[in-house]
Amino acid sequence: MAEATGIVVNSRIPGPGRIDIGAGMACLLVPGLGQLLQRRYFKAGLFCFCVYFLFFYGWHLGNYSNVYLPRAHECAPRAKNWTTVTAGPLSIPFPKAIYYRLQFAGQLGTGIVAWPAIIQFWAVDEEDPNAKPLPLIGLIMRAPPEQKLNLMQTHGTILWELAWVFTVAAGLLNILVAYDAYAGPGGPEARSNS
Amino acid sequence: MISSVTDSIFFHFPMLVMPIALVYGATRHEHPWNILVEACRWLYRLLMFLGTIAAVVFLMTWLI
Repeated sequence: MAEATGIVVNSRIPGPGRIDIGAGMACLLVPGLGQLLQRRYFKAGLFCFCVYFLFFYGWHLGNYSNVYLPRAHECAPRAKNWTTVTAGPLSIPFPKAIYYRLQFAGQLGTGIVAWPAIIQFWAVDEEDPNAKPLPLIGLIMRAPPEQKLNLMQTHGTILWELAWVFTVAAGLLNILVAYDAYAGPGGPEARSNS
Repeated sequence: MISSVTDSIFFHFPMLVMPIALVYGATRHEHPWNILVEACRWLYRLLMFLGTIAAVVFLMTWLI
């Protein structure tokens, strides 16, 4: 890497006409991993720290129970996995779990740290009182029963609402991070770099 | 006392906006100094935007 007149020149940085799909995909698994593969160490560390800070701070604020994917058996339509979203004249089938926890679509952007919620979703029914902790991940990111959720929302503080904003912001920011690894930075340096 | 401070959403506000500004700044630039400058710009914009909304909400609350 050479530096001249304040412009960083690094042949590994993607730019117009030079994209890096693998690095973009790597970022969708772990924030900053794509930049690490491109040897952009400063940005890799910065992205990893910022995205994980937001995610884990939000998870902590939400009492470690705001990143989950519910089966929502008790919610309409009962005992079905799909619901219908109407958009004007269209009726679009939509996964019920995401419909009842739209925040998870954003949280999933953070990468593999949100995957335990998917494993819990497939393996355990949150309303089953006899459900046991899973090997390795235990109770991490298991959907709380409906009754417990109602209690947290009605008797908890406003932080419950703020907490998921942190985790969703982390997931959405990681999409920007992945785009940076895929196509490079969007500022004037990148254009002069290419 | 400490609990009432940490229960306020304003206590957690800097922890939300600072990483957002840093990440956005870093997606625009490559050089650490330029990233920091862009992050400061975005912090200013975010604070102005959210401050304006807060001022409108407080004004409406006061008027009602």
